Amino acid sequence: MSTFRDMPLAVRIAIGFVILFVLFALFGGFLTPYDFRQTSLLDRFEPPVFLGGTWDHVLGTDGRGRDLLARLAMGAKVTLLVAIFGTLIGAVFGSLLGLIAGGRRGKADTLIMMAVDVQASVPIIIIALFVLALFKSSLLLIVIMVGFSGWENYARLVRASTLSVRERGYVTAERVLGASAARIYLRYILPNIFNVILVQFTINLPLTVLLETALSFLGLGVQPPMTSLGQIMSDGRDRLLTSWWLTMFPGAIIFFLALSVSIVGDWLRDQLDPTLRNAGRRGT
Amino acid sequence: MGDSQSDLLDIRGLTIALPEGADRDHAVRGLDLSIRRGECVCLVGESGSGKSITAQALLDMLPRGLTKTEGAIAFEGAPLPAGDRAAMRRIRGDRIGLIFQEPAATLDPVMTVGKQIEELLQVHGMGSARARRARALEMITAVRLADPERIHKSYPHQLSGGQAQRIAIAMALALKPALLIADEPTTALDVTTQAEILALIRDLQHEFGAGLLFITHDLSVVADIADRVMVMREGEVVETGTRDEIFEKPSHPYTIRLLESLPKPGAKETEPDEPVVLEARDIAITYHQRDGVFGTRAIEAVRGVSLVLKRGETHGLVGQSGSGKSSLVRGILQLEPLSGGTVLLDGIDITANGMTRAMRKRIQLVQQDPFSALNPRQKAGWSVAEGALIHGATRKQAAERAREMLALVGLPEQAFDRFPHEFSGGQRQRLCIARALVVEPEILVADEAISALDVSIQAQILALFASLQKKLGFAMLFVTHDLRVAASICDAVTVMYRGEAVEQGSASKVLVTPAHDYTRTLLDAVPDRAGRATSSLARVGSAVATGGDPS
Amino acid sequence: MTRVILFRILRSLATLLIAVTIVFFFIRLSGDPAQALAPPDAPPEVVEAYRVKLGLDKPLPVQYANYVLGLFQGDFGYSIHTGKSSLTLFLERLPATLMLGGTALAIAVIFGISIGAIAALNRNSFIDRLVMGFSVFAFAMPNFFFGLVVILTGALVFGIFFGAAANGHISLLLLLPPAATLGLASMGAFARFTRSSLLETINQPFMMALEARGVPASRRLWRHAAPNAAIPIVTMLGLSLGSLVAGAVVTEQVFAWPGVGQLLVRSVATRDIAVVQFLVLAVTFSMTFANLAVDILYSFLDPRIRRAAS
Repeated sequence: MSTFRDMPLAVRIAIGFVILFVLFALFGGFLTPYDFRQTSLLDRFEPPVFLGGTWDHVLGTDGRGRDLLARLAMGAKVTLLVAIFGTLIGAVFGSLLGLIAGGRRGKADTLIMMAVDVQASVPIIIIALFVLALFKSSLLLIVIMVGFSGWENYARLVRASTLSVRERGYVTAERVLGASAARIYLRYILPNIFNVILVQFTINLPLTVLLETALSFLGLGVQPPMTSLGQIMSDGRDRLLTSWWLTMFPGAIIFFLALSVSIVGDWLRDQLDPTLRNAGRRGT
Repeated sequence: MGDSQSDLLDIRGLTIALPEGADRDHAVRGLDLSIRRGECVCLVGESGSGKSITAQALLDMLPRGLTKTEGAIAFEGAPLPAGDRAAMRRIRGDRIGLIFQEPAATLDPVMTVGKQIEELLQVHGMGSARARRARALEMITAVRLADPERIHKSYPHQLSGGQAQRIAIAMALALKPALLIADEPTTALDVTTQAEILALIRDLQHEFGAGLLFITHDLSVVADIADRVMVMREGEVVETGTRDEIFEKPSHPYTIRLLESLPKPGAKETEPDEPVVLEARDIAITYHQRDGVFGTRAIEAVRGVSLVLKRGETHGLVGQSGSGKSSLVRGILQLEPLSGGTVLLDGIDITANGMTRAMRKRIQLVQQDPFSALNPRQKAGWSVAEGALIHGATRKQAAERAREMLALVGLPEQAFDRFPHEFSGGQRQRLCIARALVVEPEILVADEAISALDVSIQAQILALFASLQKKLGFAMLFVTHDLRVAASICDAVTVMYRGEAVEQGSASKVLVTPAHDYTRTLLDAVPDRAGRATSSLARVGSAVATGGDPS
Repeated sequence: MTRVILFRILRSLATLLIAVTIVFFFIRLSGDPAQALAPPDAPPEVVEAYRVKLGLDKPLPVQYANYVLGLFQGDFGYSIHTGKSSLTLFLERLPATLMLGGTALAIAVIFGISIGAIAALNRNSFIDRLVMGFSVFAFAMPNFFFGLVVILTGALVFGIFFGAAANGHISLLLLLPPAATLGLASMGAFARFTRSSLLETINQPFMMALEARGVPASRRLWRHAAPNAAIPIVTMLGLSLGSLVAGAVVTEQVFAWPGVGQLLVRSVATRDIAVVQFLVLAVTFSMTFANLAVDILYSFLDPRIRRAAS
């Protein structure tokens, strides 16, 4: 592992942005005295301060006079929580299945890989829309659905990696020496798989962010009075041409977050294992 | 063109610099080399000696980072137009033909081999499509491939290694080049195929009257084919001479060491009354390859093989790649499920009830590839100590045992705290042996344990096995594709072919008076150290290959 | 060869059956399907009538069998709002979506493969870094944001409003902005994949062997590197289809494009279950079919697979 100073400039900026985003999500609410739900019919569509607005509402207000800065902070918090918990669910669930498939092979392997195939043949957003048509949307449901996006990639990668590590000479030697299965898993297979999971985590995180914000943008995700970055964009869409900041600010935050995590992820992947470059693509 | 006595190729003082930070300054330093028409010059050296770089310099195709700093190359009486891309392109493939080590990898996988030969003719100016096709078929016939029409429309993956190498030879000779460069052309092939390819190259070279630069790490190959031999080491030529000079009275210590490291036949006599430590009865191993979601295809890797190993004895398991010998030992070690048969370890059936941890101690394995056999993130000493730790020693005791073992296999004390990548291939194999011996096994299985190593290192590791066996008294199951190796250390031998044991018996009997045809083919294919296998070579070589190389 | 294809077809059918089963059980799981399928605020008698009509009074396995049989007979259910059959609604919207998706795919394939190949041939150059940067940018860019940026730019800079296709007239001017938005992510993926595939091919030993045989550079590229690199790119076609379908749902919403995606979002919002379930099955079917086609195409292109089974 190299130190922060050895990293390419783009990676350093990206890490900086991710940290800034997390800080904003956690403490952004303290930058403004307003609550994100507080409406004020007198202050509707106030522009940001640099477009002729007042310091009262630094980033302006929306159609109900709610403070945009307060809403962005809250939206960032929700988006961050959904992304992290969702990605964790997918990582744990998918990795466990991959471990089982690669470790036990046989019937379990066949079944799990078939489930992976089914999942891979339908885009997650379609599944999510189907579920949302049937059940009442809630934060928990969104987190679960986001969690199910990408599990198949973890399963596939962890399975492949388990199979390949099992065949390495030093694991064979360990088996011949009489080591227990637990020792082999803990000392050899898990440390190797950890890198794979870490890299996939950084690839998957932007996708979960995009899924949640897209659902909220369609008005089917996070429901009022709660808010998220996608929902703020959806709210401001009708005033795109007149009050563009209502959509462009949250959109830019989503984009730069996804971009930063991707840049860090690419770099991490090259650091940990250059041969992983194409591990995610389908083999035949 | 000059007359036949003048030099076809003349290299003077060739020096090629390595990029900064490499383990030495020069890939090649001050190399003088000349080849006449019809002459075969062999460049011999271990990996990293600079022999392949020399060939690349001849084609002006040095890898990025390497530069020719000094020296002159004259080809067909004129300086080689290095740097002139168009001129070099015309020479490559036309005046200089190249045969590579990995035959299949050097053919385009999605183009038929016939098209590839014809393309070569086309880019060097043969205009008529009909003439190209005729010439391609003619060359396929010339390299003694049966059914040229079928081969012509085959894709590379449909050919065996030997067939692919024949195609590569056909391409190298299709335009009647003045110089043929063969870079380890037989290394990737099975031993019987090796002999055929060698004979083919030699015959065609004579027929086409080309000069031949033959590059190899294997001195025994050279004995059959060379007019002159040059021995290279770390970029410099240490000895040059005619074949007889090099083999009869070598002067440089390195050449002598290379010659001595060729295994010599000399089977030991068996002690008849030792107890049996391992018995395998009727072992069968079948792999089920997944074929779609629902179907599986059965591949019978081993069929009904039995063998007996006595205490202190060395039993050789000999066969080519794909003969099932590695599957058999993996089955015996319970790394692979058996589809039939039983394995008795000290009379106890380990197939029925599985192996307890204590049983595992008795039989240990040394694998082919010492690079992957060691955990790259674990210090060497702790890799060796693993066995002691698994079997209940404290960390202090285990480290103590590991240090003893390191000394036993001839590694310095400091080796304990180093990581695997800091060792050479031979040293790593020593580490693997130490790791296996830490649990004091009765049986050591060596699965092609020396075939990934350089020749001179092979001899050292072989000697180490022998001395450790003498000291510790373990029995050995020695898997190898190399009959010479088997002959030099085995008491008994089992010859495997396509999953079956075709011949079994004491080493002296099997290797001196073979009963089975396949064993005889194997023996015939082995060049002996002074190159007197020429008669058998000629026999193999003149027979038209049927295209059914075993692989 | 036929065996391999047969297995692929069986596998696809299995996938479809699993998808149908999951849809069936999810609808049962969500509560009373009669309630869900009947118009909202329907009196209990009407709901009861629905129950009998839909066979919901029968045991679950019978219901399942009826459901699957119904699908085979083309009974895909009716929209609770318009009363039209789901199939009719779908077919009305399909041409617009195909036009949008087809244009987006063409943009992604043509530009993606070109810039990916250029990057590979100029490895580690400024152009290479630019292309790689673009592919990361395209991957991270949410299409709803990019679409809004396009609309905003169009309106503020060119004075054209791109989100007006809803009025019924679809022109090239109105098609290109949403198609480019939709194709952006796939274009990045194609660029990246082409680059790595071509680089891998160029570094194969046989490319060096061709040079050593005096084959000219342009011929090495077009006759050898390109066909070898193109084979794995075919699999990208199947993969990119998924992201196009997913992207179409959002993009159509942003540009008010009257396609299937817009229908789906509207139906979900109004809980028009019959339409939603049909659209989900339609997407699953077309994607499974497309992947099957890509697999078969792949095995025809690659002689190693084509001949392996014979």
